[in-house]
Amino acid sequence: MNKIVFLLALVIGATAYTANAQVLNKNTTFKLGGLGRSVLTNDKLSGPILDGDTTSANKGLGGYTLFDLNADLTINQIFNANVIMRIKNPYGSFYGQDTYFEFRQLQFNGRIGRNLKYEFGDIYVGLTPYTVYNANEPTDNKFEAASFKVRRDILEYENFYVGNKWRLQGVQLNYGLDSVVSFKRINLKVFGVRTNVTNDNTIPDRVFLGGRLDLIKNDKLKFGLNAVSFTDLPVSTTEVELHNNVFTGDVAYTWQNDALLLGFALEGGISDTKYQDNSNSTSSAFSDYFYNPELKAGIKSVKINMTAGYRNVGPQFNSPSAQTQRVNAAFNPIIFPTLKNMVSTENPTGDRGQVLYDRSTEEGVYNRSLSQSLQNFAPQYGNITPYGAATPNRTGISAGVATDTSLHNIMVEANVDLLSEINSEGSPGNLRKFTGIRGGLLLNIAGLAKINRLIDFSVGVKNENTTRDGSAAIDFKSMIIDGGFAIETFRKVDLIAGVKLLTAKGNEYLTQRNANTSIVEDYIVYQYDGSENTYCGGLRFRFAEYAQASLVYNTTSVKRTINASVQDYTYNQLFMSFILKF
Amino acid sequence: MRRSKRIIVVLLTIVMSATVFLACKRSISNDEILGPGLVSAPADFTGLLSAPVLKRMNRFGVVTTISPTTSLFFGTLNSYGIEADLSHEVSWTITFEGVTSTAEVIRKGTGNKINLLADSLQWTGESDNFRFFMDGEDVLYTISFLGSAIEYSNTLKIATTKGYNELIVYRANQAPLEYYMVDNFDGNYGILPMQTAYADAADGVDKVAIFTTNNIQVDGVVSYYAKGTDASKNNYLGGASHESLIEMWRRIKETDPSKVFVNAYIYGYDKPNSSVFLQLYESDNNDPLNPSDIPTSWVGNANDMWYSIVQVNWKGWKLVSIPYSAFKPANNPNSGGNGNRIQEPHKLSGCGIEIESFPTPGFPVELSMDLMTITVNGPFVP
Repeated sequence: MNKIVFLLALVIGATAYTANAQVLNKNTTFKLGGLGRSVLTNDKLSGPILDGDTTSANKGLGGYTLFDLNADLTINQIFNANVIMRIKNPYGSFYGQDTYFEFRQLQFNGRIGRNLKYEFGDIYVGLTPYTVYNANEPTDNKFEAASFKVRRDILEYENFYVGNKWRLQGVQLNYGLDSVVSFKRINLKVFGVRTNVTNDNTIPDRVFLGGRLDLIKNDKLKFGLNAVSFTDLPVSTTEVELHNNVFTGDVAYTWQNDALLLGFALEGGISDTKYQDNSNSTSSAFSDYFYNPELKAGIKSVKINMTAGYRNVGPQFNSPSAQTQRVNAAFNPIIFPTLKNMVSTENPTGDRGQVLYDRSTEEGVYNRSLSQSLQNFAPQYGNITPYGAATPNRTGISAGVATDTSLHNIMVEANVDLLSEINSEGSPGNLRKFTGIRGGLLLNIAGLAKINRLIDFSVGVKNENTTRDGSAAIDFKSMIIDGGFAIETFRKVDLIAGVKLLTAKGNEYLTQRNANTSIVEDYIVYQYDGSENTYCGGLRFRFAEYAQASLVYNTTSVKRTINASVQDYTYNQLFMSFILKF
Repeated sequence: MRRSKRIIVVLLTIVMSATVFLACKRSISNDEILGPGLVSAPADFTGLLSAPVLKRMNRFGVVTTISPTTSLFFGTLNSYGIEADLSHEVSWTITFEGVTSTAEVIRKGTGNKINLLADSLQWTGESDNFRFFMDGEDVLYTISFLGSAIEYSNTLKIATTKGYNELIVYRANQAPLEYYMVDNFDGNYGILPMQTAYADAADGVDKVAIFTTNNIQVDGVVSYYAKGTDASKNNYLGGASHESLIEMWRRIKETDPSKVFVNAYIYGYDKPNSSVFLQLYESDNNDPLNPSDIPTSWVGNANDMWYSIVQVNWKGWKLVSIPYSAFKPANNPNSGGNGNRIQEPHKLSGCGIEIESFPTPGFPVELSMDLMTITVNGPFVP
């Protein structure tokens, strides 16, 4: 390992020296940045779930130290190379035995001429909520406490989540021109990535191509055209082939004066999917469409914005790059993964399964790649739009009201969803009806009181209700409450505390879909009754803008019955972290 | 000019809107349901009106009512079904579970009758999970109903499972699927198995362990297990093969390599550099159509060896099926690189497997294998 580190240093040094030695112009720069993080957790499990169980682990200590070195070389505006190299050392490995080294990011980018920008390597791709979009989690974490935000930042960094884009590997080009025909500006973005690697045998290469044409008439009126396509490049012995195309168009019009802002937006489009299984000579093909108009209004004097929209997303609308969930519901937590008393016919390995706290803290729970088909989900965390705006088989109204972003000390938001299915899932003549209310409040009390200290308070609530009449009736209710505060007690030392409370009760039918085509194949009875509550408190030390440490104690009480499985335990975790960014 | 710009914008808007809306089509109408229909048991549901009846259908489609104590013979391509009348229309589930093997197969339906044979839901002896039923095993079957706590259970006994050696399954509108066992590592098929294990001595003593084990399995009692580190960094860790490489001679009659598939259940341990080379040996110097012309042993420098690499980069069991036409010819003239280099499945004479640290040498490797078969006219179907 020491040799590798030495070689790495040599390469970086040589690159920097070469760059300096061959100065092409005054713009040539070489910068080093990075992130260092040390995390330590002390975990303990207790409760009735361990009764009579002397074999399952109930205590644990873990953690790691990592350092990401970001080397950024700019020759001139034509060429920039960005590399992030990672060294990670898990605690408990002696003499660096399990220390590993990896390239976390490799990217080339630059500008050719005045109008063409290019990116190669690791690229971030995002278009619209129905084409390429890394939708937020259905648990809606906007108002979660600062004590959870520390963990959320780590999850997002580790999983390459930047906004609502997916991190993929390929090439992306962006071409822009001013004053074209009657348009103020047009932009053309195209990308191509490989999402599946062939084994030169039964699995074909899969490429994901797409782009967007922005037509900007003026500051008020904008048009967009989007196209994305998954295509398999089969070899003669390919077992399966997927072809999926999504085309959408969008228009946005905004009018405003000193008092009012009025706007209209619409996105609509189609999807077309073909799947061929050469091993048994079967195929399936289906197409569907969606449309989503939305009205916006803003009253500037009171700094309030309102939205009201209608959506109709067909039951077979298939857009994998917009419907891939952030959370992989099938992932079993790494901490206390199995419990002897949870072994059953349905759960032969005794998997503990995710709870809300795992979904808020475990890095491995999150998807990093696009899923070909709709993955399963757990309804207690979000049953209305588990796949984001592009969730298929949904129609109805959504409305919201929120404070203007120009308000820095207070943010209030409330949203309501009144949706239903378009086609019944398993119950002829009966559709699921969804009612969702979510909202929250974020207060910067110090700002309001004009105190030179950090005093933040936040609370958020999400309530969902799913019903269906008929011979396979459904009644499922869930509520998630987030709340917490951060108070600067001593200078740069914050007292942070928060809660995440989930209660849910009712019955549902989990839709089982074909792993290749998403076609509905079966339903599994799902009954949930219980709660998953986490309370946490601790201290955060903000040494500098680029360095902070935190010490947080979390206690999670799980009392839930899922079908016949009774799960009653308390999971305590002491979390310590030190993070340095430069 | 200003007017022409407006016209262009209007036209563009119309074309965009028309393109999107004309392309809109939904391949499912609003009154269709997605997936199977579900009916929950009403409050006055009482379950079965009488004891369920066991039915047997032979390979020619003749249905017979049999006693529930009669053993099941899947080996002769019988299939079985349950018939029962219910008090009300309801969604029902029948689960067959192997008491010893834990193999499981589930049938579901909705109605006021259960009739697996009439509804083409017959049980042909297959399982839904990665564990096959076993000869002589008791099977617990349970009938349950959506929205009701009422259940009915009984026990059946399997005399013979389907088996996959020299088996021909006739299918509607398709060529029959032929199965030829290579090895299930149990040695109970009356054919010569592959030599169970040999390890690369260059990796050092105790660096590689290859053996059959009953820890996990798909078919029968044991599977083939390999674990080790490629200490010599030559990729190779060990493997197994037919002893004389003539053990498969004249068993496959098919001449078209695209119709022949090599299949195996492979268990991955999340060690992505673990790979298995599947090797098929052809005896080119002998004419398989001449029954008296049987080779005494396979000669490496005069015949073909075809191989395919499977990178076991998953966790758990997976059924791998590879068409013979996707196999590549070996290049070493002493081990199969000197034959006629024409894929001739009817000249297959033996099989082998090699465990490798691939694509990168020197890494730890771990995998299990079970039920290696060759099928004709399609990949392996349990």
